[in-house]
Amino acid sequence: MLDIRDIAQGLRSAMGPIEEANGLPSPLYTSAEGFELERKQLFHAGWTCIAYGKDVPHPGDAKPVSFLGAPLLVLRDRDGAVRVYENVCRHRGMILVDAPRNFGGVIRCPYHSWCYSLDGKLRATPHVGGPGINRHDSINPDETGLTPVRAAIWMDCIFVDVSGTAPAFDDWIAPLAARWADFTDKPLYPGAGSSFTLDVHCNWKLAIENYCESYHLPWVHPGLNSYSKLEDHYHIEAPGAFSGQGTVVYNPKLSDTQSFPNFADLPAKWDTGAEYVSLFPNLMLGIHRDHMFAIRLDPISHERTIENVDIWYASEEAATSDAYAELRATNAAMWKDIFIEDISVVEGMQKGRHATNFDGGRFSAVMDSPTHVFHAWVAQRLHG
Amino acid sequence: MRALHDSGQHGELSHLHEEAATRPLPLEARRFHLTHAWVYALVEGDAPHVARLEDQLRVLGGL
Repeated sequence: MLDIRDIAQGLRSAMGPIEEANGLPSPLYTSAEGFELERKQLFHAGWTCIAYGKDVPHPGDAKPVSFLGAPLLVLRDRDGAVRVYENVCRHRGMILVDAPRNFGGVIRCPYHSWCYSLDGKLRATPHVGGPGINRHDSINPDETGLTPVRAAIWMDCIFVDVSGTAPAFDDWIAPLAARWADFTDKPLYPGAGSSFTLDVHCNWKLAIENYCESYHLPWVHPGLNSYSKLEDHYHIEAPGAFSGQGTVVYNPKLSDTQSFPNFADLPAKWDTGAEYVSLFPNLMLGIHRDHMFAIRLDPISHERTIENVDIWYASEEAATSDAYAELRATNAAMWKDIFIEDISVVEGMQKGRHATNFDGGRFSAVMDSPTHVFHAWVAQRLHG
Repeated sequence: MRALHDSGQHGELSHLHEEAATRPLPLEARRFHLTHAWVYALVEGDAPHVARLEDQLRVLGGL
């Protein structure tokens, strides 16, 4: 059994100055106990992304999500607002919805048919007072609705705070919202044919760490590096919130004859600028003048992670029309190839974490600082 | 009704149960059918039908 005291020294080291710090201790990568600790203290104790708004595009759409063992239900209500509930009937704890679907009316529990409206209210309790008697004084519908989970949506990403004790979402997201204020008021259009998943045999943190830094680009992404060189990148660091890297030479040539429309009214810095940020704990975002992508990590176990990739565009035509279908496919394929190039290194680091004497690793004080910001965040959340 | 049970045809099920409730049955049996008609109408999202069934259930002491 992993004891926090066993890794306390490693956590303290990770929080130290980068010149002296070691990376996070290996039991957080190689043990189920470490994963369980993170479930409690990282994922279920603060804001975490669990789905995208595009997953429930229409009123009545519902998507069940198993969020590290917590059964949740994401749904879009009749007014178009996204809500998240615990996906269990208040009667016997039965799972309410087992697959994505649309509800034209109420949500009916498949066990005893207790029914809930999309605003979570308990709408019907058939036979609760005996056959054909559908009410009982002991069941107050006003107090027995679906259990709401604190939720928010930003840039079409749906976040939840299972604990209910995290800071206000607007405060939590404020640093990144301010950094990307040029984009946050713009509509996003999910790209048709622009979703894919990658099943990666590594701890979720290794995907974040790799995404944080540009240090590896010349060695792992030679194609990307041919036009976006290491020296064209800069670090992005918001300790306690997010970190990543940006480029000043974003200028893709997906086609000789066509390009995507840009988001409206962007400052000139975005003409050739793009930024790639890991929003702790589990969301990796890329923002460009003409599209955004998100990679939402679903940690499956301490050694397996699903990467859920989606791309959004600046106009509905760019996102859905046949005229842009080939360009969308090219863009999605380009990103998929790049993300696949990362798999060998994150899986290699996962194997390396089993080395008996590996001490978490030493950082480049110049090139690894975004990764160190992430390690320090994890360590602070686990160690306090 | 049994054939339709898992069919997803909730509107049809609702109407069949409502029709069954009009037969000369004991009060308990009529309430039972109206209860099922009501639940399936709720699932269907047929608000006028739901309102009508709730009125009938109230009269019979089912709500």
